[in-house]
Amino acid sequence: MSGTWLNGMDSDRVGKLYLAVVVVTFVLGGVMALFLHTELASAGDTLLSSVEFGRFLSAHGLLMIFLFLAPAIPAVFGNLVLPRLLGAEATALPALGVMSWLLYALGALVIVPAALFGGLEGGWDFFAVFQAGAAPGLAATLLTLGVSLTAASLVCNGVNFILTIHRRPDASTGFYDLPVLAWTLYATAVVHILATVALVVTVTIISADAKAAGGLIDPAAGGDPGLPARWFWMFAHPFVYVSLLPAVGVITETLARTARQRAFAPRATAAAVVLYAALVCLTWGQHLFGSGDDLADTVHSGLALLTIVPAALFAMNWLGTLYGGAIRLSTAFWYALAAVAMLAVAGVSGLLTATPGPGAMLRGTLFAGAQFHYLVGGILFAFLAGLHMWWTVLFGRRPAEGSGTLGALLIVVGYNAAFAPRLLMGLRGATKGWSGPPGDLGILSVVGGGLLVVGLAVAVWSLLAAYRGGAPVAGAAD
Amino acid sequence: MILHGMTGLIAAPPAAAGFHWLPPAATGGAGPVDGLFTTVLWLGLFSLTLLLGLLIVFALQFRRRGADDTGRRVRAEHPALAVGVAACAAAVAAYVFYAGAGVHQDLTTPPSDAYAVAAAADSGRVSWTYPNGYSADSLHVPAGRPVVVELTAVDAVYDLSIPAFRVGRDMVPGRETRLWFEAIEPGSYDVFAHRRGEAPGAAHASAITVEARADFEQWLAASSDILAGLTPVEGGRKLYTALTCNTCHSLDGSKMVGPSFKGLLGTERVFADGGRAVADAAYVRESMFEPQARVVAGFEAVMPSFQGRVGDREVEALMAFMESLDGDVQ
Repeated sequence: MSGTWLNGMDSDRVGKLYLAVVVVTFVLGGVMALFLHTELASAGDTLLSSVEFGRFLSAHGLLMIFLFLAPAIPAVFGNLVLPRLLGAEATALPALGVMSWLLYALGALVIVPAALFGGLEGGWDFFAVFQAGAAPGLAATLLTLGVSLTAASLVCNGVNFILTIHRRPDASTGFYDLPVLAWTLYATAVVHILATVALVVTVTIISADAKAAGGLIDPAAGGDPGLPARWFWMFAHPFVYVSLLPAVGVITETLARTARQRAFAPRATAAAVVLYAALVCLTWGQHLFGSGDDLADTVHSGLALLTIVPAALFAMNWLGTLYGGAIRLSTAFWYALAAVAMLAVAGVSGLLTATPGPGAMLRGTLFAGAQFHYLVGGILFAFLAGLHMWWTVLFGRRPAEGSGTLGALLIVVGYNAAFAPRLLMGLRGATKGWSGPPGDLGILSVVGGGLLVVGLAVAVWSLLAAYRGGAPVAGAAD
Repeated sequence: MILHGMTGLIAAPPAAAGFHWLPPAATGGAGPVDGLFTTVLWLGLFSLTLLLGLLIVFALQFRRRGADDTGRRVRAEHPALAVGVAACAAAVAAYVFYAGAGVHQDLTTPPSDAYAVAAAADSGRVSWTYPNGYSADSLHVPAGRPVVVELTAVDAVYDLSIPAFRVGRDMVPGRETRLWFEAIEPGSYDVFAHRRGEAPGAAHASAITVEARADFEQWLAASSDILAGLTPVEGGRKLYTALTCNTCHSLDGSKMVGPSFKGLLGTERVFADGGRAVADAAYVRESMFEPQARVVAGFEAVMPSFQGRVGDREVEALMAFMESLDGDVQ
């Protein structure tokens, strides 16, 4: 893997550049979360006015989802680890990888200022600006452009990874014998491509409608104001929720390597990956429970509940992989275990939001928001597990286990203290619009947020310390 | 904008009044929702505990004992186990879906004799309109009677939720959605309307007041009586805007969509069909209840009928107000 990323021949460099920007955007989003949590700790406007609070919340969501959650694992581990797993020297088209990173960085440069200063206050699902016949404005236009650039970067990555898998050196290896991470990256690439097509179609229709004053979303002209929401979720739900799959891949690889086992039931797991990818394309309607179409609610609910099947197969895979192994209780292992726990909580709370009846009750509440953050937490922990797992391979130095495990412990405790109270507050009726004075649960959530920041700082410090002066190793990853 | 009751509910430590996952239920329909919620929750918690418990047990049981510990090789593939796990998961999904679909069906099918209230959201607030045409910013409903709320919005999509009733619905411009409930106990319950795309913290809270039937009827009659405590002239002035007369009839003699109220009473009106009549009490009543019967020349026949919406008291108050404009009555 010689050369530099400028001449497009080094997928390792692309992966590391992705890692750098992903970490920077995560820190930016995290700082915003810190402001938000601190504001929630006090009654009245202290740090942020209500308008600023809304803008910070929108910016936090947009950065975390489109610049961290969606690209983090596929872009970083796809470029850095996938070729190694397949025995290749690099991805099939490293130049496409470079182009992907440039599009992603450009997207970040557009999204960050547009989100911070654009005046969007309603959260990351910015479709609301297209409603009521109002002109979307510069911020929404820039956000649409930025998100489109990010989506395009993931399409480039996806094409690159699909070709890398098809052109693997040992072509005699059957598809079913591919590592689970390769399966998940492949399925994620396909979903990213499909979702991006949906985004392009949506933006084209909305733009054409606005130009031609077609009234597609204007109720006064006989249009349906609910269309932007449906279009947005048709793109955003698969685009975002498919991020679970690469996390599943990283967790599986981490557990298998730390246990010195092959992943258990790889064929069943591959089938589960495909089933989840298919379902994630069909379950966008669960965001629209209660919109008045009872038949659609029921169908989407049934499809969402089917997600239990791949989830159960993933759990079987992880249990079977550990059973009988020789498990090294490393930082990477604890992160992987924590990721499973977070995804399990997300799964149970997701089961409740997908159930007809209770699901309608929980829509729009803090419960639904916290459920999504548990999913994000699972993906974040898997990302950290992967970094600790492959840090030695990527940088030749092993992070210290003591500080790494301390960081993991603080993050796990902080994350749960931050979001478990929100699950309970949501069950008791607190809506996403809640900003009343904090009760005991609200204060616990704020304290948890602080602990989470400390834990993340310890984890980053541990990895940076290893990068600059950790114990040299020969590249063993278990 | 959150009611103190709401924040108190969140702030209260769970142990204070016995731990409950959900706020106290206040409708008959909440029972099945709570039952299904509890079933699914415990099913999920059991699965979660089993998974995490086994992972921790395996981690301890099979932890690496030394550098050369390679563990025991287990079968990599186990199709029967995979099929069994998938079948069990599918069965759970099917059960939850079946049970949930029944609850959903009940929640979305109001009884035919339900008391109907219309709700419209605009500019961040919700107005509730009763069958007699009375509109208010707060909702009162009778206890022990099904109530169906027909929802719409003007400026944006709103999320409406009533936690104690276990119901939530979108309010969509240009479309009518609905929810229904049958409140059990009189009391006050939070209702939230959050305009999509609006900053958090701007959830618009108000309260639903559930009253015994007799109290509700009494409240509605008293609240709907727009003339209570007012002189006829004051009442007429209030009706002038409440009935939106002001959108078509001026008070200064100028011509709008309809004739001005000033200088109307006692004058001769010339109609489009060539007929003539003096504007007296009978004429005003006819104009309000059967506006198309005789249309004044030079005006379009666009006046809506107020038949059934107002009575003799309202007509008399409006006439008193018209007279006051001519300086005859103060």
